[in-house]
Amino acid sequence: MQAKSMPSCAAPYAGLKVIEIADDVGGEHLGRLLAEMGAEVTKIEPSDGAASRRIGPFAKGQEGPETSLHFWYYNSNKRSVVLDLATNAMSALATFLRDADILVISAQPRRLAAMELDLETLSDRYRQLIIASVTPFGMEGPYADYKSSSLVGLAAGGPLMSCGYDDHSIPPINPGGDQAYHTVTAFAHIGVLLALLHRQKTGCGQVIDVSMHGANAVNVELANPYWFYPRVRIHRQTCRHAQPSPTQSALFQCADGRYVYYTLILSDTRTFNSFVGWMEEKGMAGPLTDPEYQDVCYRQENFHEIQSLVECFFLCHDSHEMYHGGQQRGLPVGVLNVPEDLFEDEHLAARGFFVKVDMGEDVGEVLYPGQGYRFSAFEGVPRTRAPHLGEHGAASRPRLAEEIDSKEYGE
Amino acid sequence: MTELKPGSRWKSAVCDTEAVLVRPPATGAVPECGGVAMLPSASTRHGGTVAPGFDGGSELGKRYADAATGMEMLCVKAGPGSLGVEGRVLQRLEAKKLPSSD
Repeated sequence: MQAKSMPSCAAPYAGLKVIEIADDVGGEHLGRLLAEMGAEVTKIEPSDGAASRRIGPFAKGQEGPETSLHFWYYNSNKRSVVLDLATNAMSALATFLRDADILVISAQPRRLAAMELDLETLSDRYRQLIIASVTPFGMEGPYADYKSSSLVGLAAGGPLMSCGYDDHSIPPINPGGDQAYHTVTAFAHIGVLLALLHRQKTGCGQVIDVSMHGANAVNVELANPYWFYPRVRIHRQTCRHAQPSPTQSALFQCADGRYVYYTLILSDTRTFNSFVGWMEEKGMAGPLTDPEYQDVCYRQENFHEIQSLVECFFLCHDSHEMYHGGQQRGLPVGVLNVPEDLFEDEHLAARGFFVKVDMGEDVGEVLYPGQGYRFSAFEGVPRTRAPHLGEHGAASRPRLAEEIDSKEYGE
Repeated sequence: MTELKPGSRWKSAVCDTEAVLVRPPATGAVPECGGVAMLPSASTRHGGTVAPGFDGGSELGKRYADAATGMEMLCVKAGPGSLGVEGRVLQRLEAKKLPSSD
C-alpha cells in the first residue's frame, strides 16, 4: 500500500531509549523490532562481543565478530557499547538506565545474581523503566536456569510434536528459523506496548517476565483445544495442520517438478465449482461436472476420486501457471518457494521489500529484509547495518560508564 | 508431433478413447490404446480396430500407469480400447480412500 498522504508523525517508537543486554535471539529480536520502528536501541556487549557474533554463517566465510550474518540480521539499526557487566552491573548500568525507557534483558536468574543485578531493585530505582526480561523459562520455577535454544523451546513447549511428516517413523522436525524465540519475542513486544500504555497513565514502569517456554506452550494450534475438551491427541502431518485423524495431502507436484499448496474444502460448493470449472477449461474435469458432485455428501464419499483428478491436474501444468491461475479464480493456491526464490519474487520486488544496506568497505552493499510495517501516518525507518563491536562507545573498568555518557553515548 | 510432456493430449487411433499424459514414459515411447500407437489430439483418425487383449476399455476420470516406464495417463474420454505402452496394458490406479477434507 502506498501512503495516501505524507507521513505526519515521526516513527512509532521515535524518542524511546532502549538498553539491550541480550545475546540470544529472544532478546535481540525484541530489540530489533523496537529499533526498526524508531527506538534508539543500545546494545551492551562484553569486550569480546555478544555470543551471537560468533554464530555462523559468516560473510565471505571469514569468521569474526563483524561478519556473523546471524548477528547482522538480529541487530540491525542498533548501537553497540562495550561495557563489562560481569559483576556489579547495577552501578555500571546507572548512566545508561537513568534516562532509558526500556531495558531488554535475556539473562537468567543465576547469571543476574552473578552480575549483581536484581530486576525488582532496578525497577524500584528507575521508576519509569520498563524491564522486558525475555528468558527461556521465565524468572522463577524449577527450570528458570536451564539452558535452552529454539529447538529446546519448541520441544519443551509442545509445538515440535506437531512439526514433521505424515510418516511417523520420521521423528519430529525442527522448523528452523528460531521460531521459538520469535514466538516469545512477539509476546514480549505486546507486553512492552501494554507496559508503555500503563506508564502513560500512571507514570510507572514495571518488570515484564516473558518465558519462551510459556509462550510456546500456548502456540500449539489445535493441540490445546483438542486436549482440553475431548481429551484427544493430534498427530503431525506433512505441510498441514496436525489433526486427530489424517486429512488429505495439500501439496501437489506440478509439471515443472515444483510444488503448490492447495487445500480442497469439499463443503464449499462455490469453491469446488470454481476449481472444476478451471479443470474443465483445460479438458481435465473428467466426471466432476456430473450433477451428483453438487451434493456435498457425494463429494465427501468420492473425495479420493476428486483428489486423484486434482493431483493429475496439477501434474500436467507448471507451478506458476497454477499459482496465478488459481488466484485469478479466487482459489488460494500458493507456490512453494525456496528462500532464495524470494529475491526474484515479483510481488516483493514491487513492494521494495529487500533494501540495500551498506556494510562498509570490506563487504559492500548487501540486501536486507526491509520494513515489516508500513504506516501511512508514521515515517519509515531506513534499515541500517548492525553495529561494529563497541562502535558507539567502549569502557573497561575502571573507566566508568560516566565517561562514555559524556563523550560518546547519546551524541 | 506432440511432445511427450505432462499435459499433452492424446487420442486413440482405433476408438473414442482420449487421454492426458500425466507422467511421460522414461523411455520416450509413444502411448498406445487398443494395442495401437495413439495420435496427438488434433490428428484425424484413419480407422482400425482394437486389438485382442487390449480391449479392456478406458474409464473416464481414471488414472492408468506403467511401472516399467513410469508412464501415467488420465482418461478424459472413455472408450473400448485399453491404454498401454510398449505393448503392455497400463494398470488402473485405484485412488486411496480419504477420511475427510481438512
